Amino acid sequence: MRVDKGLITGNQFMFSIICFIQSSSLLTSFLTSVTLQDSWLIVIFGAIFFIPVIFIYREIMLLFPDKNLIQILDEVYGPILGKVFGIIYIWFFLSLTSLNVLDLGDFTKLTIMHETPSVVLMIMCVLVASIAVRHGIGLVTKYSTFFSVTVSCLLIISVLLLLNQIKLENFLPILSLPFKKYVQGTHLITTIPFGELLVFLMIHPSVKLNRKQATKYLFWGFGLGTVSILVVLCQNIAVLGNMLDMFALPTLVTLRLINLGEALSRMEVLFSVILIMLLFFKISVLYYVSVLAVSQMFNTNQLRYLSLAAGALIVCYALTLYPSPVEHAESAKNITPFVWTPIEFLIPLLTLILGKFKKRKQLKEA
Amino acid sequence: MLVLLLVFALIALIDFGPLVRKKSRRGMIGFLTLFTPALILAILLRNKSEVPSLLQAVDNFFKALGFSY
Repeated sequence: MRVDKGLITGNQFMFSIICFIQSSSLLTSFLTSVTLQDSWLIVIFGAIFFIPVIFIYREIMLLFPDKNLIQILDEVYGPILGKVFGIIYIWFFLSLTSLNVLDLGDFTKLTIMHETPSVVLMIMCVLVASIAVRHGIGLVTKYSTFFSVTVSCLLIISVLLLLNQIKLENFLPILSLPFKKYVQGTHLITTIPFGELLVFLMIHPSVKLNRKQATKYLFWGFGLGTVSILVVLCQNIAVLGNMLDMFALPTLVTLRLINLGEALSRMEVLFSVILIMLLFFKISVLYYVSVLAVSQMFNTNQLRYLSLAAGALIVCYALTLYPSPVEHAESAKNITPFVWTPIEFLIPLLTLILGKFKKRKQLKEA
Repeated sequence: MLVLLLVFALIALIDFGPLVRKKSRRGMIGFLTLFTPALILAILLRNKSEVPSLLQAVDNFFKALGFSY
């Protein structure tokens, strides 16, 4: 049984993917502290390594066009093992939502609302997102195009305004770090922003796509999102140089440097607002996916009535995750890529292989 | 504490009430699965009890297995 019968267009799907990746440009410090001036190369390596994973996701979408991830797991692994994997994925979705809510609270407090406790900001965000979640996938993804285009325009403007501060020698030396750092960086970028695209396996039944359209929207979405991160990283490296790893939010520091006389300065506030919008979008998608997964697990179509309870859990869970942003960043850099790897790559790959076998067997029997 | 309990009561009133009226058993179970841990966590956090982080426990497990940079 499909829990949410709402439909979205292919373009909404594609722009949602772009927004989803763009929102991670806020968190580039994870990467830049590992691979410094070579971080732009890591984004390219990560994108290349992630292409086969996109193919896995696309094949799963095409193999089970009317089923979301929880239903797919049930069908492929059977009712018991399928439920076990389902619970793991629900934990994954809830953890991702809580981590992003935590980031939003910390970021907003740090940049715009210094006096407000971050828990209040987190509750407000979840409360607003719950309205979108209650109305289904249509409302959750409605403003993806607007957010994505606004961010892209702002990105182009910021690059133009920073042209006078860009130093190309900041990219040197290239490939001078230990090999392990490149492996760590690539692993980090493939699991943290890119691998999170797995959540779209929960949404895909709401988009009616054939093979050609699925390839087009997935790859364009992924490609444009990656280009956004690449531009942000290149801008940060070119402007900040070897000071890059000194800041928790290098993008914000870079934009603070925009200064064209008296008229155009302190542009970072504008960027902060846009980034909060993007993060809010990501939280809405993750929140929706979490509620959808729980509804699907219990096979109930009362999705809207689970949203507030899920919101309360997300906020409370977020408050228990990490004692400080420093520990959060340390864990994200060193351990989280390993924790997410089986969830984002290995289980989907196994699911695809077993799913293909099952479908082939069913065809032969028919 | 009273405010906290009022907020949770309000959530139950808004979302659990309709589920009871609709007699959606699965919906009620789903709601309680999310609501109960949220309420317990909120009370523990309000009382400033030390709540162990699930994610950090998973991190430590992976670290113990040697999966760490």
